[in-house]
Amino acid sequence: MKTRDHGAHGKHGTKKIPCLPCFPWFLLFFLLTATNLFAELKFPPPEFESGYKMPQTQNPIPRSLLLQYADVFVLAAALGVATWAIYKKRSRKWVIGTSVFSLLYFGFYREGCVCAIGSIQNVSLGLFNSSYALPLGVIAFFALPLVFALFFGRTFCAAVCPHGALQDLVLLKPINVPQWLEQGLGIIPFVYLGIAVLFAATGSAFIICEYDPFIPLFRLSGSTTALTIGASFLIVSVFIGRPYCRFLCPYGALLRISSLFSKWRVRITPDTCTQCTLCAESCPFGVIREPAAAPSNSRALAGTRKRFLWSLAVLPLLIALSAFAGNQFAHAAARMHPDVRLAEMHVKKQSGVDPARAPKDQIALARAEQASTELLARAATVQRRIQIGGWILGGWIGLVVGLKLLGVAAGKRRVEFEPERSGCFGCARCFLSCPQQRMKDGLGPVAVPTPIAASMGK
Amino acid sequence: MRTLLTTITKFGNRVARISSDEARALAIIAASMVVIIALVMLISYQRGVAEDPLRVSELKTLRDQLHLAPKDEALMTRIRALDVQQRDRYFTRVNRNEIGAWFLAGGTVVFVWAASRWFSARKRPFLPRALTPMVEVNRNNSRARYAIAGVSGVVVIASAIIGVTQRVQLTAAPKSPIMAGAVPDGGVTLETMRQNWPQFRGADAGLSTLTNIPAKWDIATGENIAWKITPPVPGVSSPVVWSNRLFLTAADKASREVLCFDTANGALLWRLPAKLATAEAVVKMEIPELTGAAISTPAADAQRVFAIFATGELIAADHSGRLVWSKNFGKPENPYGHATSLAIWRDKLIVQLDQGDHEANKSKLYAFDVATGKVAWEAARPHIGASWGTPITFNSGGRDQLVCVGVPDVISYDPATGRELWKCKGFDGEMCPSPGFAAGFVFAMIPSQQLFAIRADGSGDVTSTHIMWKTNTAVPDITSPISNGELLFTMETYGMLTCYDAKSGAKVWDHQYEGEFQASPTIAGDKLFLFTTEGDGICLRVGKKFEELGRSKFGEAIKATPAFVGERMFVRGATNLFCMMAKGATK
Repeated sequence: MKTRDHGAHGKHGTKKIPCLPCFPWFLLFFLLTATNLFAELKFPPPEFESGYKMPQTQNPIPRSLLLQYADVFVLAAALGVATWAIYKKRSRKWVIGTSVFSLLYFGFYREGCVCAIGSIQNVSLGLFNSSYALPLGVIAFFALPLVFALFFGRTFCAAVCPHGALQDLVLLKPINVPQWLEQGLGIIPFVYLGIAVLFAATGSAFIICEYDPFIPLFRLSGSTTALTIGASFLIVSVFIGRPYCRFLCPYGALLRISSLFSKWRVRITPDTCTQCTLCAESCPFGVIREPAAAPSNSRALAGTRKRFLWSLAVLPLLIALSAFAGNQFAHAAARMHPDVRLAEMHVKKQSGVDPARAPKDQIALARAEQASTELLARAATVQRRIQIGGWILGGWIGLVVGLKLLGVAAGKRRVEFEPERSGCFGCARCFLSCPQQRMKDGLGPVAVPTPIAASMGK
Repeated sequence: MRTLLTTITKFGNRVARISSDEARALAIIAASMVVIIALVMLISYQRGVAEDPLRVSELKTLRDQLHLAPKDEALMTRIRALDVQQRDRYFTRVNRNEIGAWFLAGGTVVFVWAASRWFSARKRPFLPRALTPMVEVNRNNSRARYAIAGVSGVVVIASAIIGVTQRVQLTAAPKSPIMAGAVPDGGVTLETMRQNWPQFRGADAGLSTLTNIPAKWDIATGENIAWKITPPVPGVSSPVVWSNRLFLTAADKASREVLCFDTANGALLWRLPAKLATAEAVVKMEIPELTGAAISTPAADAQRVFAIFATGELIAADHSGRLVWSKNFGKPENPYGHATSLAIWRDKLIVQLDQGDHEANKSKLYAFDVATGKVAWEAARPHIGASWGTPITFNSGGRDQLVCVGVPDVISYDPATGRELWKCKGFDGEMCPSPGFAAGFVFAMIPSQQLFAIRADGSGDVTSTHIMWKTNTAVPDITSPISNGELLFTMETYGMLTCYDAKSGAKVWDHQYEGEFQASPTIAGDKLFLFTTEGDGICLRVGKKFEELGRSKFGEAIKATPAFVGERMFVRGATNLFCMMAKGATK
């Protein structure tokens, strides 16, 4: 039977992967969100004089408890299937299937909420604010992927997270990001995580949800800016594998830490690694590392040891410096809290600097000014808390940077090609590129497309 | 059915066999289509934003007019038609865009599918390669260290810069120049208000510091009279002055106007008719002849003059007589029409629009931006009925206050926001006298019944805590009280002039005059000026003993309150406008 390759996912196989042609259909959904650009032009409700009373606007009714538990069950099941698909079945096809399901269920049906990424904020707020009731479902969404990561690595990212699924499915022409750049940009998710926890824990804002690029696409609604950012991420995802997961996702930062200690890890070859290097080329996320031996001579060993010790020595300095910067940042970041914002507006007004404000801000300020003394006291308390949080945030960033430098200095010994534990998404692409796996699956060598073969023969 | 299935199968097979060249051609066509559709949609979107139905000026104007003339059927019909037209255009555009989005999506799907086929056909297979040499690994590690240091450095430095430059300040900074005196665009300060006479009874509720205003004058001989002119249209409102411009409002059955005179010689510089929003607003309005439509005193700042008429039109014009902005409050529910005068505070024009009965809840207090006429704030005045007293502004105990009399409450507001500061309950009657302020007390009255001195440093309901003294003898029903901080004077309509100790309320002296008094008494320096409807001008010394300094005849009724600027006093009579200036005075 004559077979054909199907883009990035089928390029090494002689078998047809039927999911691939459906990728463009996802774009269909996202492009439809463009219609929501026009939602900004809504009319205000008509002013009826006939006595008709407009129904009162109300908040959406909370999801029933049963359905919340159903969501948790679906999450657990999806995690189970994804883990099975990666570790037992070793099938990219199953991973794609699970991704499609997760995208439809957690993405489009549940409209990206509740999601593990945003749950960081609920948990943070719940830990620092005793009056905030943390739903069990949210706890499960926060904890389950992390628990799975402790055993199996980032199987949540592989096929359960709708954000990851969306980016993975549109990846058509991957461009490799240099490893050194990846290391540098890899700090950003930890910074984002720290800032998000600071704001959530102090009750200032849920910035992860507020600035999530994919939620507007899942909901087919959102501001023009939000939709533009979402579309931009999607376009970038066509060329750079999972940009959000790699360079921004705060929950990914937690999963990285968790999967560092995972009991099991993804193994590329089902047999002995022949060091053919094909798997490293197939990974669009650049997480497959080559075999590395210990330094071969005492001079090289001394150099490694020196770099490591230097990195260790500067760690306290880095933490102290970052903590100071974090505290400075908190002086401005306190403005994210509504009480501080109102208090600042009030103080400015009292000082005679009274810039124009949006009507909603005017109303909020007028209300808050009914008891300006209490407002100022409240704001000062919040500001102090955020400043303390700023020290911790800065310290956290310094610690992450220091540990990263230590990791680079120390290196790691490997005897075969293997994915980096903290970075591997478990997408199962590398399985298809491994000749041992292909032999086990009864597949032949990778087919060379006719025009390329012709050019290679010349 | 079978034929259809066969056709679909054949089409599917053909699509599956698409060649690399065909895929490339299809991708290019689809991409072109996507770009064209996207451009069309973008243009349509931009046009949609530009034609935002919420910003259609015509509709907005009509709706503003309807707000002021809510029963205008013709207006309603026009609004409905325009509204339907706008909604129709809007939804047509939305539908068109939705269809466009489907085409866009379809084109994109085809493009992505074809492109993926094309890419996969051109994809070179991976070939085994040598392991990365150790030198290269070390170089990469070195670069990684720099990258980590670079990114973290940017984060740390950016955080520190943001923290230093955008620091939250929760302690009040020193007062800005706006508070201290200077006003950036128009508006007034207390200093400039005192140098001019920008509103009814001036900057300090009837008190002027000028000391050389003549106590006597003679119309027949021209003694101490700088000039006298006859305005083309009559009115009972008082004059206001800014620099060398004197402004009056005037009205007859045909028109309502703002008149501007040169203070140096009384020359009429310009006259500006008040623009009407609808003809109906005038036709239905019955203004008593006694008061006329020009009863409210205008207000002025360095660039503009503001005038409101009994019929509810508010206009702002520049000093050369060009209309700057206008509003129409519609027919006021008030037996005399709108009669409260305008007040000005910094860059805000204060309009106290009390109307209807207590239960109607129609009364409101507005602050308009002097430059644009936009509402800076508005405050509802629940359970306040129609009133005619003019609000006053002052600073007491570090708080700027705007005090409005009304029935049943006298209320102090924050003039910057309209927030209520305190209120004193229990007022009644036809609230015509304006409040006075001196020595930390607001003087307000139940006309003809009781006069109250209310301490102005309270918050909330001060009725039982801040009324420092009250009296029920010879309380005016039209004129407003005047105090220099030590003594308080009241002028009862039928001639009883009473002097009180402002702080204790003890009567110092009184004097019964013959005649009727409607103009509020004013103080300039140590002189108290009184005017009668019989045309008498009386000057007394402000002191603890009754001492009349002079009495002069105008020959016509004086109902307006005079304005004092420079070394001049401007008095409006029933027919003429007079400027008094002592012999030898130069300003």
